[in-house]
Amino acid sequence: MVVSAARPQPVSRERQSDTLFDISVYGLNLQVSCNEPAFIHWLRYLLPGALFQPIAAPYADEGRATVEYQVHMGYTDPEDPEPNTVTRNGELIHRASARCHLQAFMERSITRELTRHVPPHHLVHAGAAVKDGHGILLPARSRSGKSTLLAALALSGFDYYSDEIAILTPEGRLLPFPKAATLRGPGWQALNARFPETKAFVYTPECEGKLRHLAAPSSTPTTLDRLACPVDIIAFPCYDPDQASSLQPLPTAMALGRLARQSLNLSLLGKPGMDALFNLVQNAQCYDFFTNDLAQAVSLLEEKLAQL
Amino acid sequence: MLKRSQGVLTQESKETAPSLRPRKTSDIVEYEIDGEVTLFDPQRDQVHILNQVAAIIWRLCDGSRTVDELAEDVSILFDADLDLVQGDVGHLLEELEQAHLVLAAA
Repeated sequence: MVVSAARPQPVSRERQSDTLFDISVYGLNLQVSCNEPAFIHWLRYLLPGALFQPIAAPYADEGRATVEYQVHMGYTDPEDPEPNTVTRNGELIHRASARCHLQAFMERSITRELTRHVPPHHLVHAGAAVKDGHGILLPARSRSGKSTLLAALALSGFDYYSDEIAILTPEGRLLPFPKAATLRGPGWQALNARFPETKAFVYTPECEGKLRHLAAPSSTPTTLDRLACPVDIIAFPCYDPDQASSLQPLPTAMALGRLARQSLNLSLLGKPGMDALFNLVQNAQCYDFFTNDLAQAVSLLEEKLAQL
Repeated sequence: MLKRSQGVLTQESKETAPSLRPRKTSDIVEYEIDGEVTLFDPQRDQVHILNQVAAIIWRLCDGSRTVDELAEDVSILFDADLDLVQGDVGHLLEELEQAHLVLAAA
């Protein structure tokens, strides 16, 4: 359920440096340098190299695109109110007044890089988990409660695939992007109330205390072919404190439309991408997923999986 | 969006002129599941969801029927009052046109 030191550690592509982060993610080789070791430390927590090694292994080094980011953290003065900068392959792409804003920008940048370098795979803004070989997709916008729900599922015995980016093969099989789950205050409070032990697995970057990064639990499979799972349930989560947790059947056409709207790279994939989503929804059970209580929500999904 | 109702729009809007002959925009990809339709517009990277009634009306937009003729066909198909159907079809066509799903050609 959590990052496990007992699991054999495969050879990691991470270089050992306080100011350099290097990781391979599918068809992308991402290198980030920063003058502040704390930022690099946070990146290593966000993207644990050992968890990503299985999904990088099938790609030969020469088949990957390399992108280099340089993050510089400066000090605010009247002459330079935005001293924190980010360059990409040598080109300045972002300035920020607060250091912690660079973390959010870096997370978004990583997502953008994936959309460019993951095709023909489909990227969907969704949480994803797997249990007993059955994939669950939770597409939703930000602040829908999906990260909190995914963390709860991981702590309840599900294999954690992602809290934000689900990767789908053209054949509709789910692949992991196991970055650390990012939880905001209310979600963290709800999760900690249900799972008090999570305090031990959280990294809180200095960003006005608003975010918590929960360590990505290790997945059991270690090879890409075992990691790829069929999607059996597509549930669109919506946190509603006034409604009991429930799974309401959703017309498949509606599910297709809503899933497509959460796609991060449909414009790049075009019709083949839409065809793949069409096949996906036809082979899965689709629901509106009203969530209130975490324990109830987890139980509902477990019951549905048991019926498969 | 078009999915809001059972093919009946309540919002006031400009109706498509009765003599125009609406036709589906080319390059729209249609996916039908259980009578409902999801449309993908690859040019604009947009996805639209049509309920059963809206899907039927959209499919009837082949450029051969005027708006009035289309409304007549729909009223027959659903055994509904023509006056009521005319208003609803007009509103729906306006939405489809705004969504670039049909062209209202003379």
